[in-house]
Parts: sequence; structure tokens; C-alpha cells
Amino acid sequence: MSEGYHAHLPERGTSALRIDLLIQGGPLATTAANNALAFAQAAVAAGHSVGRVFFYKEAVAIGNRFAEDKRGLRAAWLEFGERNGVELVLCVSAAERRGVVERHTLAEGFLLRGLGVLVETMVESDRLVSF
Amino acid sequence: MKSVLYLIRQPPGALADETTDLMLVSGVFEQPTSVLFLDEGVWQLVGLDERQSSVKALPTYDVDALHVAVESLEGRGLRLEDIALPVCPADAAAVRGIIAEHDVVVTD
Repeated sequence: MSEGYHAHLPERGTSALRIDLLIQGGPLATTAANNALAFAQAAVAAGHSVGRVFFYKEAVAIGNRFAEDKRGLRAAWLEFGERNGVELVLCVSAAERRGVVERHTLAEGFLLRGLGVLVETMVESDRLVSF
Repeated sequence: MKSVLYLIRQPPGALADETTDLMLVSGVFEQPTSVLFLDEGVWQLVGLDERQSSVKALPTYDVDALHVAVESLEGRGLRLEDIALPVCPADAAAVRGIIAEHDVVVTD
């Protein structure tokens, strides 16, 4: 799958881009967060940088430390974020709606931010890719 | 400032409302914001007088470039007159043009 993503990215060293991701599909009903991670890893491998990953709607479940993570998706995102200096952000209102709040259910390593941060990301980013 | 197009393809509901929230914030940030209602997304424009929907607030937040795909409307037996908001009808060629002319396209 990551090979397929490589096909759409420029060769290493040619015009490196700042790529940011918007993930909306939940980890139980969709493969959005898996696909986004594979894309992000391929982008970094191709020489691009990933600035911020914004989890919105059902995707905020990734940052709920009480939500079961059988496949290790939360751990994989945290590891990717730490290794590559990527900010992992949950929409604060979408998270609150689903019971993910600071100092209680929020997993360490994720930030809660407003939708304004997503709008700012659209402006700063070279490519915003949604999943 | 980059122009943003919201490509709305989901039917009305709690998840659709979250995308509308995002569109309203886009408008408040004075980002040039357009919306294209396509496929099941056209249902978000119907029956606006009979239910609570923040879609009605879009023009108030400077999100006034609203487009609807005519093929999606016709395919569901809907007409432009069923929509209680000022929206521009777009045929297939116009849909392609609208998507192409924006810097950022956000899906729902």
C-alpha cells in the first residue's frame, strides 16, 4: 500500500513539501487512521515533512486512552509523531462531545485545540490531505 | 489567503453538523470559503425550514459561495426550488471547474 502512495509523491530531494493531515473516520468503523499513517510514513520516507495531524469527528477516539487499541494504532501514531516532530491534535469540541477531556480520558502525547488551528493549518500547509 | 472548497457528500446528521461547524470557523477567519453539495450531501439543503440546521447560518458567516450539483438533485427527485438558501446550480463540467479553481479541497 505504501508503495502506491510513493507513486504520487515527487522523488526524494525534489521540492520537499510540508504535508498536513486531516483524519475524520473513526478507528473502529473505518481504516482512515491506518491509511493516513501509511501515507504519512511514505511522505516522510520520500523526503517531505509532516507538520500536523488533525483528528476530527470519530477519529478523536485515537486520543482516548481508555479506548481499546488492539492493533496498536494509537501507539503507532505516538511513535510516528515523536520520531518526526509531528503535532498530534484532537479537535477540542469533537473530543469533548465524545468524552475525551484533558487530565482524564486524553492520552498523553495528544493536544486538544480548536477548529481555528485546522483553518490555520490549511493556510500554512503545502498540501492538506484528508482521510 | 488560500481559497478553500468544502466538498459535502454526506447526508444531514451529527457528523455533517461537525463539518458545518468547520465551515463557519473558516468563514470567521475570513478565508475565501466555498461549499459544493454533491451526492447525498444535497439532502443537507432540503427541508431547512422544518429543522434546526447550522447550514442556514453559512451566508451570515461570509460563506456565501454555495454550489449544488444539479445531477445529484435530479437523481434524487429534488429541484432547486426545494432549497431555502441562495445556491448556484452546477452541472458536471462546472463541478470539475469549481474543484480545480480552489487551493484547498476539504472532504466531509
